[in-house]
Amino acid sequence: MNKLTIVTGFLSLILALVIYLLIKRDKLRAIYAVYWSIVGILALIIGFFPKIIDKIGSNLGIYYPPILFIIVVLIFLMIKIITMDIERTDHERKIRKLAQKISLLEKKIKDFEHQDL
Amino acid sequence: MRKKISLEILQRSHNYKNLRFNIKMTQRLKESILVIIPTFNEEKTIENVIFEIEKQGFNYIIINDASNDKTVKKIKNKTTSIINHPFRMGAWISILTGFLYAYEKEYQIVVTLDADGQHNPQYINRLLQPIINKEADIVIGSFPKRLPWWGKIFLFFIKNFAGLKINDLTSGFRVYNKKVIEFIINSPMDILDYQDIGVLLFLKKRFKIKEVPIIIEKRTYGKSKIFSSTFKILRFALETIILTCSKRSIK
Repeated sequence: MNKLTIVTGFLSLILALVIYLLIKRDKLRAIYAVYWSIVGILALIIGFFPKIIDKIGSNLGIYYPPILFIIVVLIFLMIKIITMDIERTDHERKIRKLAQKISLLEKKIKDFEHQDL
Repeated sequence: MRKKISLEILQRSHNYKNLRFNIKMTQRLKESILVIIPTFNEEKTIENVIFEIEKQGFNYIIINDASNDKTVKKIKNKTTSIINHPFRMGAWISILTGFLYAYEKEYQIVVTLDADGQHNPQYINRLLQPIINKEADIVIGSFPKRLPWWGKIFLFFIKNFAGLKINDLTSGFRVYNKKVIEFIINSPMDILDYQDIGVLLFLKKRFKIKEVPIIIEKRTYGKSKIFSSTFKILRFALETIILTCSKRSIK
């Protein structure tokens, strides 16, 4: 095991450990836990066996194989950010609807109070 | 001077038409109309707007979009027609809250006007005419002259690209009939942030839209909420361009 493998292996181990702890402490919903578990496992594999990237890269005819890893990670991150924005839009819509309902209910209560007076 | 005289002539002819129309407008009809006033920090103008609407005898509802000045304090003892948002959600969501209220209370026609004093409630009767005569589903109080030159150029391109045959795309002084209100509250239009072009893009092919010329006063107090900074103008422009491109083919 060379020095590079020790560093990448150590970093991937930390990432996998953080993900494991977050899942264990119910900080992530099941669907996100699945996504991050896959990320954690992939990080461990690539961290301890970085030569995999070189092999895949050379098989695909990529001149500088580490760039393949960066491209794949960027694509994954982009997909994740877009899905997060979709979910955020959905949440904002739900929050707006809830706030509107609360405002209307408050008005109804006030109207009832005025009727009683 | 010439401009002043032509404004006076327009106002006089408008007052005469209003008088004729007022005689025709029955009390029952008035009771089926709700004026929605979205409000955010309008402590200087809100009282006058309410006074003018009450003078005309219309039902109204103020949607207070979490104002943090004395707006609520000023009107608290004068009216109970107020709905308070728990936090700020923008003018369009305030109008949507008003639509939900109007729908719940079974109003047939809804008028929306700003609380900043730019929209003179005296024009309400004029805007109602095409709806009552069933000539249109949505009526826009139009005064395109008020826009700055860059706004005119921008809206000229948007208008032509989107196929909107409307001169004043940003006027918030509008009248909607019940058919439109039902459609709006059951559609995903709560995703919008602004009440102008996006709303019209959603509605343009489904409903008849008509413009009625009015005079929109200049702001005497405060700043426009949408165009108060370069960043906000840029955000509005970009959102509008994206919406226009995405909704261009909607039927």
